[in-house]
Amino acid sequence: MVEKKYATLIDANDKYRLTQISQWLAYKDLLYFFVVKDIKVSYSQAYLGIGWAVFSPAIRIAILTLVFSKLAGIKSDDIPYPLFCLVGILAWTYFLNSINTATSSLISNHKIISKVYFPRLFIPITPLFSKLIDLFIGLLFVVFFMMYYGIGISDQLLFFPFVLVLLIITTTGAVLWFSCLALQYRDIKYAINFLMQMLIFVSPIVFPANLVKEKIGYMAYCIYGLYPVVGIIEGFRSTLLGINPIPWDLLFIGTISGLLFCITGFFYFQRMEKTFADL
Amino acid sequence: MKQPAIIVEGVSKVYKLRANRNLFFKFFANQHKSKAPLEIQALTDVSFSLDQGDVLGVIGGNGDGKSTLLKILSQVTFPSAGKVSLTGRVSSLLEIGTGFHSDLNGIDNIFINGTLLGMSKKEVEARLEEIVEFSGIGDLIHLPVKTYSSGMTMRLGFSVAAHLDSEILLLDEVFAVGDLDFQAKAISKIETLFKRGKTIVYVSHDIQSIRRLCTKCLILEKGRVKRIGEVDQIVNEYLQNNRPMV
Repeated sequence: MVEKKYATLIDANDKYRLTQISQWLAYKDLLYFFVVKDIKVSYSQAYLGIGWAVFSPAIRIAILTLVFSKLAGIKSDDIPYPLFCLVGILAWTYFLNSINTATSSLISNHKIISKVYFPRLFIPITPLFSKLIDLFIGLLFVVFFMMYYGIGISDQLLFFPFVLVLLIITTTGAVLWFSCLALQYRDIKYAINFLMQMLIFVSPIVFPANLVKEKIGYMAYCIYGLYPVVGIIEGFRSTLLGINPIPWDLLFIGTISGLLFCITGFFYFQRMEKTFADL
Repeated sequence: MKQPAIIVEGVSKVYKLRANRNLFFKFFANQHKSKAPLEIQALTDVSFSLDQGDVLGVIGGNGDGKSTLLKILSQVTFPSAGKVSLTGRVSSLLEIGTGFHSDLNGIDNIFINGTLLGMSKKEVEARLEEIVEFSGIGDLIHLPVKTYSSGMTMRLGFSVAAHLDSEILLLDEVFAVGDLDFQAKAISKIETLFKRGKTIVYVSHDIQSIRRLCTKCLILEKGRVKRIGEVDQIVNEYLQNNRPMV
């Protein structure tokens, strides 16, 4: 006898197919292997570049410290500037790399999409998992720097997982929107490239978000917080290093906009998903 | 007692080919508005139903909608109108070795390909030895797939597919893989699958294999169901109308 749970109904009038949640569970092992594949493929080539992987951020941080701290005199909220920068770069790199990989993922995997059924969502969200490895390796460097500067762990570290989840939620929203748009409009990758280059300067990587409050005002600071990466980077700094209080106002605003971004991205993806194979 | 495994009701599929795929122009130049999307009607009002254990062969010329039908049944693409209901776990084999990555070894690729086709990790683990054995690749299984010949890659892909245990199988012509020895092995493997009471939709140009393997036959012509019925009768009619060049 056929088990009832494997009944599939395809109806051309369904706009959203929320029943797919059961499909995600049925295919969860596939997501696991997508992630494993991504990690294996990127790290099998990465061991050749391991020297560069350490060397290039070190140089980058040295230059940023020289330019923004020594020359421009940007204050870093009592945090040693290289460490201040490193934590910001860490969160930003996860965001950027996930987006860069995911944006083209539906296009580069179009061959599979047009040949077998599986939850399409797994393709753009795979980098969200595999890039976590880079993030955790980066955290080891943060620990190293903290020991070097004699900074201990504070109880604010308890809230780090919350900030990390917010980072993942925001990035999920971005990859869902961007991957979907990139498949439909083949010029969108240029727009996203441009957008990300602009966002590097907008994000509080080389300067503290507090600078906005000081120079422009609290209102502008709150509007600035609508860009969730602001709260995330400041949240990373405060929870990991424990030097400054956690910016709950930024995190609150960022969580709302991040969640909205993620949920709308999810619905947009669900809606477009069924046309993927035809594009 | 037989119960319907596949019910297709009034399924149509229209492919819309958009001339403009450029967001910049869409916003700033408005130039695409004059062009209506080019539409291709791939399937028109296709209806049929299959009982559990039926093996349906689908024949038709190029562009008559055979692949589109399989893609709709396998949920790769979505119908423009109509309903499909499938009872049982569905696996579609529209291609051999989907999702293989050339830098990963054979074992990794078996897991990726197997889970992609709908197996769980446990199911693949349980059949791993059998799959490797059947592929005849031997110790090379631990080397990256890029070191395999194309025939070996196909054999590996076929072996994974042949060990699927779904109730409904959707097959595009997947027989012609590997050398002669392997082909014979593959065909007998497929035949055992066909005889295990699975519901199968099989698309092929090879009339002989349809006659041998299928119980029912469907002829598609220009996206419409031209004939459906018992295999011998339909195939004979088809051969009379389209005399193949011998």
